Amino acid sequence: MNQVTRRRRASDDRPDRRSRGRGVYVPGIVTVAVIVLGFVLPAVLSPDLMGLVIEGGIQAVFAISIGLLIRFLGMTSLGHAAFYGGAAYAMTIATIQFGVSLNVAAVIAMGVCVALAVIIGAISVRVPGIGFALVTLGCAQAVFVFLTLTRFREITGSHDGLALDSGSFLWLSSIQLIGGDLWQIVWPVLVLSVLGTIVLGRSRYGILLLAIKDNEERVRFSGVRTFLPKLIAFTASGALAGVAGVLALVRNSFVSPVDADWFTTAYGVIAAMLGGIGSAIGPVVGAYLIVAVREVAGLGQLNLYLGVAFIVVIAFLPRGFMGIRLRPSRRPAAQSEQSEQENLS
Amino acid sequence: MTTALMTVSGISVEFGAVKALAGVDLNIHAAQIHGVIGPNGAGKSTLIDVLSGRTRPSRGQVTFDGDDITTASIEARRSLGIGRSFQRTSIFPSLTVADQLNLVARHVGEHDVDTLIEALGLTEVLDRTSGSIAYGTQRRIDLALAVMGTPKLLLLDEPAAGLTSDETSELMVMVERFARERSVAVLLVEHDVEAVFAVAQHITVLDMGAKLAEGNPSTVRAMPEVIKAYLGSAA
Repeated sequence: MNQVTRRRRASDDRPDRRSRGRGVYVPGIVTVAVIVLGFVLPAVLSPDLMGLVIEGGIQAVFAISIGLLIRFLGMTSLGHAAFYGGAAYAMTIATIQFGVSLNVAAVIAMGVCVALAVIIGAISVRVPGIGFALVTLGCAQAVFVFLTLTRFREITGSHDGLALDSGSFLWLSSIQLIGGDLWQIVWPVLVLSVLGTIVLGRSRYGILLLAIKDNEERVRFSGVRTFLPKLIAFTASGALAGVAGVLALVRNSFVSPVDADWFTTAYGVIAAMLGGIGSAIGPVVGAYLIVAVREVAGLGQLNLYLGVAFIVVIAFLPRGFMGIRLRPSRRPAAQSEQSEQENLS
Repeated sequence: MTTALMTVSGISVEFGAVKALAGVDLNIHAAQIHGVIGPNGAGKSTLIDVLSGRTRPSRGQVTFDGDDITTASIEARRSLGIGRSFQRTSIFPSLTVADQLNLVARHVGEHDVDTLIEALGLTEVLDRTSGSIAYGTQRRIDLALAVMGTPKLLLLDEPAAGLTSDETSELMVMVERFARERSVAVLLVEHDVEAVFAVAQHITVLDMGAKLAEGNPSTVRAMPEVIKAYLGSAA
């Protein structure tokens, strides 16, 4: 083991043995407690409130998918609705056209979503800066327009959208899917998404992505081709957005072009930014904030409040709401904070 | 004379109507420190960009170790054994020094990172994010990233830019020692003429994108046109 490796391990948030105990075990215990408590929510919350929790959870997974790219590559996708809506459409069409079960349809949907992400990623990840955002937006809007074409009404439902045939999904019956029991699926997906973000940040691949975000040219001058790592990250992010789309479809039993429209992406971007991309749970906080504001203010005024909140965050809280808590911290995630600020400024 | 490690033949680079390089020829030999000097606008940085693959020449040919690399990518050149540093420090500011050294070492196959860290005096800053440390140290990190994996040819683009004279002297000693101990050829593009004369075994002088003179340091130092154009009283 060389000095660099030793130092890296020694500096893993643990200045000495005593604080290392606290540093590892306390957050670990809190994390496990939160995960366990999450499963108990349906027993203590009203069905209406549980419905909002599930919806927030699904939107949080979507926001995490967008936040991942911003956090690790500094790339803001404006086209993730293509994966969210695309997966939902693919799943619905598979059940209607081929008569397959929801489980099989979900696998097909993810396949379609990953293929779409590879195609859009191959086109867009080479483009730097704002160009990336615009290319992803353009690709996604092409998907949106395709879904609304009357020529394919028989398949896509055009502007009317499609209803999903009822059926069981994973271990839940069709009745359970429209109730609070869907949380049994949404919660683990959400937890895995958050933990995945944390693990990625500490992995070699995550460090490589952060290096590309920092200084792509220097990475290339180190002999590393950056296209593939970026494409893999984009595809994984798109797949996660597709998972959110599948969950939303299973919950709503309906998909419409709105799910693939850029507004859907915009809410995901705003959720990630409001919560803060420097923290793994920032996008989760942002997504629940949006759901809460919508419930309190009503759908009609949601955009007004979101707009004001977005301006306030960009102007005064460039690390988002979770950044308020993170500011005094010196954990490794702070690695990304400097360049995160550069992204947002 | 040994066979040149890198041969540059008739390289020209044009940016619109501006001729940054006009038919420059150059031979860089193995384990030799080759200095390139010249005033602002002489084409020094453009030359190093061409050799490292950052800029595609309008005309001419670059061969390395017998292979034509004129159109080779940056990554391909690195894997062939060409490393470079930058005039403006090019590091990973949000990563810790350890993380970035580890990252690059893994990709270029550097097995003796410890020696490099100690030689460049980076031991004390390994745990710090590189954007938060002194500029002189950042330059040494830039150098470390360039020399990882012991390239056959090291391209140094004004490594002393922004450094004090003491820091420059230290850096030049490191470069000279590294080139000697690891038998690495170095193309040293530098504004600080005396720093180049102190370590280079061969010097090329550029002016307005063309080669004005070349030879060993004492020969170049004595050339009237060089004295007149670049060295002035320093000669």
